[in-house]
Amino acid sequence: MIRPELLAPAGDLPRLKTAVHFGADAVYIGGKKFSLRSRASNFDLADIEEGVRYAHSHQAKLYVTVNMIPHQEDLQGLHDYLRALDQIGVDAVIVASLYIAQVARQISQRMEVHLSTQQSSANIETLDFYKAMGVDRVVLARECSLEDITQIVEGQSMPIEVFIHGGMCVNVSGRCTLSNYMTLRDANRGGCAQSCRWKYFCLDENLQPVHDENTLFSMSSKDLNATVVLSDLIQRGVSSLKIEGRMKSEYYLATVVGAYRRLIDDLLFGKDEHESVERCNLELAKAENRETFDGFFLNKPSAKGHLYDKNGTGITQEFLATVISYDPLNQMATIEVRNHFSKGWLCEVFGPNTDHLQFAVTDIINSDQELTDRVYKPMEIVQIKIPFKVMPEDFIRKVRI
Amino acid sequence: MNIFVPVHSHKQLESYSLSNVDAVIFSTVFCSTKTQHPSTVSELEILSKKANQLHLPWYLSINRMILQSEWSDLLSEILQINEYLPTGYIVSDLGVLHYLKKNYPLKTIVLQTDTTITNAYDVEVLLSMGADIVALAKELTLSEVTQIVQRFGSRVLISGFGHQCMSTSNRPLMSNYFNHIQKDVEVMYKRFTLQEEGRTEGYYAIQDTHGFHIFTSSVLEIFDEVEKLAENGLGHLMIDSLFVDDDTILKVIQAFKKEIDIEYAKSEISKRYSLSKALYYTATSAIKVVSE
Repeated sequence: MIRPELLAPAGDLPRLKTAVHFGADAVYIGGKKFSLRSRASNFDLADIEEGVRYAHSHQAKLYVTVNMIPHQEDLQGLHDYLRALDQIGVDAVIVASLYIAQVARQISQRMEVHLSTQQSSANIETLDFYKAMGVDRVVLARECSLEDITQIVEGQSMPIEVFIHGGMCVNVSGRCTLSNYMTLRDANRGGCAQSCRWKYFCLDENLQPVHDENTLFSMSSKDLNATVVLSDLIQRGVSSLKIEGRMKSEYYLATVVGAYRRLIDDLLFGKDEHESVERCNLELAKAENRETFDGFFLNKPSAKGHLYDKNGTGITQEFLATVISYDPLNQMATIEVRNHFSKGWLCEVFGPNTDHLQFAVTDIINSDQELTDRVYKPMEIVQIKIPFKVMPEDFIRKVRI
Repeated sequence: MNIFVPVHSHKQLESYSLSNVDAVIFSTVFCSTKTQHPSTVSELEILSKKANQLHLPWYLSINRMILQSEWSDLLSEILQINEYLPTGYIVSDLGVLHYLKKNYPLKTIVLQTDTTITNAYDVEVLLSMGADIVALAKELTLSEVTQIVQRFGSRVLISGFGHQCMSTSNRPLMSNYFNHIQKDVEVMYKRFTLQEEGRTEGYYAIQDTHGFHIFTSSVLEIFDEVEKLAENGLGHLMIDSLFVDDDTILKVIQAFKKEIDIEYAKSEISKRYSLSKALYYTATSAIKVVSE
């Protein structure tokens, strides 16, 4: 089996570093211009340059999304921006507009051009069309089944990228204007209001209600989770496995990237698939704030692929701190606090080289060097006793009992 | 300026022909979405013969994403339908465009993606890649449409009338919902109305064999604007008949053909339908600002 790329999102430099640290082979980010996800903390050129340096120094690649569907007014400065990305050393741009794809190709033969899922590519003929334009890679439509993906990989030569985890548009990507009409925000320019996740009364042709008053109609999709087909995707030769979520937290990224890194490696090393997938899903559950399902890979989504009663967008408070350093002599770790915790809590440390070890919080020394029973100030640097070796940049989370 | 109108029956075909529409659009169950009355291939054969007898140009609508696993079925259907002598095809999948242009170079191919064709540069690229006519995105303002029409008008199509499609999903969302609430409701090709909890307007929606589609509550009407766009060189206009009765569509055709007074047409149509300018005067560039 060929080792596929694990491609992770990042909304800012700390998240980019986390994604690389936890095993991403490549990271995609949005610049300040021409990118969707207007709410994500997008990168300016200096940040992108630092991101490229960091990624390359860790043998990872950096892709920049230039994936808005631009109106005429949005295109000012495009050439300069793409030239700057090329000069900085960005490995690829992810584009949705064919014009932007063409300009990017003209500007650089080095920087790859990846075609976004916003163009809903789902067949070989479409990929041949893009190849003729000079596109290097295509991100397939999320509507593709495992059978479609298999035929596409076997039937043409361009590398393909497939989403394996994260939020899903319920509508065909790039073909939805619900936000435009309902909120005057353009989803194809980063303004999606997620109107699909709202609740709707439903009336029949005679305008008689046919909905359930307690469970209104909604198009809210569960998130994608491809663990059950990951082995198939790897065996079939998919080049890049992509995690969605440039707006997701550092903790989410650490957990999800780490879990998929381990699953991919386990599968490549021939470990038991069932056990590996089960372990991965246990880990993923620690970061999910929305239920997941297997998308279109095996079947067209049924009612089980939707959230009718809740959207599940609650913010997890499980993430407690990151490790800065560890003193093995005194078994004291210096950590940066993210969420409050107290003496007596059962915690777990995880990192790329730290294997989910648990401990109970006993001694806590706050930033004033005083013993305390509780810490609650985000970003405070404190020391806690951990009875085993931990590594810088490991994450600490609460254990659910 | 050529006027395109979807057709679903012999009766419509004859009356639209008498109204001098420039082209009609046929749909089939396999190829087409966003219609309540797609034909079987056999029905299409009969319709197409009639259109050919009337010397009425006709197009087949292949207005959906074609998955690789459906590709061979698509080719079989195109092979058969091509024998019925279509003028061209209206497609939304670039792979279908690519295939048709290679294999049927004399057919006129209209690329209609609904949303993604939003600037003159992209129009230029798509025309150079094989599209004969491109349909502009429906979220463009009149000002943006005018700019593109001034450059490529003879090869541009816009929507001039009808409920506008707001979204398309490949999921059977309506039957999924009724399964979830355990209610036995027939959904296929039926018109439903969705009304968001906090709003008064209702959006029409239909489920077909390929997925689920939602449409605007009001009907787009731009008679006056089209007159000016035609002066700027607009080549092609779509009148969408979905959820609109035949008499109204005839009035719309006559109004665009200037066979009846536009104000009279508006007045008559507004008795039956809520009219709007959709997004032609409403820029949808607002974004949600979130403090970091």
